[in-house]
Amino acid sequence: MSAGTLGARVAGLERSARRDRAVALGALALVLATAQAPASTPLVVRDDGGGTVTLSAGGLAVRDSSRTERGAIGFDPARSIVVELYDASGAVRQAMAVVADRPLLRQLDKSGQARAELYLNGDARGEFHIRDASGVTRAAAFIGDQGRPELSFYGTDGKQRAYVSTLDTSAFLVMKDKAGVSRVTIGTYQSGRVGIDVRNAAGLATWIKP
Amino acid sequence: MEHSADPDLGARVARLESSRRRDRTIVLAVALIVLATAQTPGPGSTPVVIRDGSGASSTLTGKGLSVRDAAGHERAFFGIDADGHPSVDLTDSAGRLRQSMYLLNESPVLRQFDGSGKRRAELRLDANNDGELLLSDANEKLRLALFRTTGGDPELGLYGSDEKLRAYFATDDDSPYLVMRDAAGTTRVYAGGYKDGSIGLVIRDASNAVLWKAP
Repeated sequence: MSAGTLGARVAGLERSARRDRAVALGALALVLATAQAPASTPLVVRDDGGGTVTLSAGGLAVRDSSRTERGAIGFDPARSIVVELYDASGAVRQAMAVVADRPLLRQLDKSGQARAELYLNGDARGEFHIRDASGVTRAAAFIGDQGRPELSFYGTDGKQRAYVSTLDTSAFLVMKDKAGVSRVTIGTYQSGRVGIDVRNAAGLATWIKP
Repeated sequence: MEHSADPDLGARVARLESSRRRDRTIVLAVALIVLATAQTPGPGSTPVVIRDGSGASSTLTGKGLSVRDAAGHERAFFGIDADGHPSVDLTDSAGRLRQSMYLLNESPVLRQFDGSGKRRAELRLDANNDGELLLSDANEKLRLALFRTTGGDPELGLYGSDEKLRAYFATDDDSPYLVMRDAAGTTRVYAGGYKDGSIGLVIRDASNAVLWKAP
């Protein structure tokens, strides 16, 4: 091979190397400009009806064909872990969550008012509440602060009207009037006596047995 | 062998070799960045399935997430169910539905089922959005209910195996009352407030005649 031919081939290689370098640098610039961290991009799966399920770092969200969110599992804005079900208008109607490290199941009306709740309270005692549209508890079953199981009913004013409960020794049932006076007591008294008494509005016994 | 007439030829070849190494490094870097940042395609209709060595799998579809055990039984589902309800369903090892939290006709329900598929416990809001706790027997007959009446009063009802009310304990704003009935539905024991505002106790016979009353 002559030196001239060799020189020409080397010159061709140099041109090719410059072109390839330009292409490679362009590709690198394009990749750097458009690259995204994998974890930041949600995974979306669509069904034939137009509904979607989106898996993101915060959890899983299910949307119907009108793009209304109908279910979610993951973290809520307060960073509580939660499973929520939404109605067709997108309002949350049922939620199961751990809030402040305590379990909670909540059913809500269309206005967003919690109407039924099952949860563990701050002392880890179970409570079930039925509330009215104003949020007033009207019925509750729970373990009280003295460890007594109790079923309790409340008026529209939120004041207790009746309860049935038990100690280890015996049970008792109390009925109160609107003023909070106990009018009927059935069961064991604090003295240990067992009986039934009926009282008037002033709290005076009108009938006691035995 | 011929000798080069160009004294720079050796230097030019050396530069080319150096350039080739650098370019190869650039190409490799581009390939690594592409691989590290590769994304799955945008919204698609193909389910995403993740399987483990035991055969258990999780499937993400446009309807929700389902988890199957190694036997192929769906054990958990979260999403929009076959009836179009947003739902969380948990099944036992035989694949039977045992617990479901969903919206039925847009109202929240939590149901627990026995191994025969009978509804045994239910927590829900009724048509008036009032909370209810319902316990049923193995024949799916209602035996206990804690709820609010149509008038809004809280009530605990106990039912016989015929699903007829046998006893209830309730209150209105004026006073509570406790009622016990026989199988025919006759009130035999009453304790609490009467409609006239008084409070007392009454025991009646099967024909509803008063046997004893106090005060």
